[in-house]
Amino acid sequence: MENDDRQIRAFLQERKQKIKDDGFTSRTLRHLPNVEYVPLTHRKWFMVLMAVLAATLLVVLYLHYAKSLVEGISLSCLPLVAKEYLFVVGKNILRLISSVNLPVLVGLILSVHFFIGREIYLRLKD
Amino acid sequence: MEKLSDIALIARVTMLGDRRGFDRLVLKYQSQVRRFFINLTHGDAGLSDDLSQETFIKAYLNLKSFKATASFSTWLLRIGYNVFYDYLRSLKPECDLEEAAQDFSSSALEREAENSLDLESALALLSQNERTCITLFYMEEQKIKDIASITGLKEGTIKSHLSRAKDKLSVYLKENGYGK
Repeated sequence: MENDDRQIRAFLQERKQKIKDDGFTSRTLRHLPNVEYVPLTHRKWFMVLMAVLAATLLVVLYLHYAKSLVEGISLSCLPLVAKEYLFVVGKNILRLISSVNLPVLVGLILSVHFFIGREIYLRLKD
Repeated sequence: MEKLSDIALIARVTMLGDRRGFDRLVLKYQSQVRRFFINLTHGDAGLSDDLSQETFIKAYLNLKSFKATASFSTWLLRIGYNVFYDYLRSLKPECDLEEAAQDFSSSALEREAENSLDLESALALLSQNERTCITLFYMEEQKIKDIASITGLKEGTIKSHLSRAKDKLSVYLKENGYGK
């Protein structure tokens, strides 16, 4: 029985054809209907999700800095506060660069620049 | 790893709207799908190409419904199997499918006599379900649970189809002096 099984497998495997493409793929692709899959980045829910994520990230970072600042002040130890603050800022910038995707990062940087620019403009205007 | 690369290609089509991902999937699986149809249609290359094309078009239209619970090839062959049975139904809408397949195979046998391909004559001895199960199991190397998912048959039924097909093929091979 096992021998039969081996023989049948060998018989079918030997005759297993590797069919060449011969233009089949291009013919098939020509017949594909025009179904436009909307890219993920063009979907509203995706944009909303990214905005929520960016906002959450900002809040988390802000709370992190605030916490270390409050802790430092409460200990009345200014050098430690500065050290901790710099450490936390550096660590979070590195974490931000490694975890956040480029468009979000660029978006954050641009919004900070926009905010600073607006402040300067308003002060000069006054 | 292969499953992951297929999922990445599917994601390229459905999430990024990049159709080139599907080009690569067609290129990768065209041989398997066309061979599957060639075995089911007794070597009718033209018909196999038409059915394969329809299979890929249906796969493209339903790409979003691919859940990755099985491999992409299993999912594709399930669509192919349905396309083949729809084709048989269109030939003889009111009669039994096995009967339609039998008529289909006898016309193909005439063509096969000219080619004298021993694979075709061996597969012609089997019923449609036996042929499907045996080619999926031995040629496409699908597991029994995957064959069940492709054909919609129960695993027990597939095992009995395989056993009957093996008996018939074993007799054929002995009679034709294969493996001596």
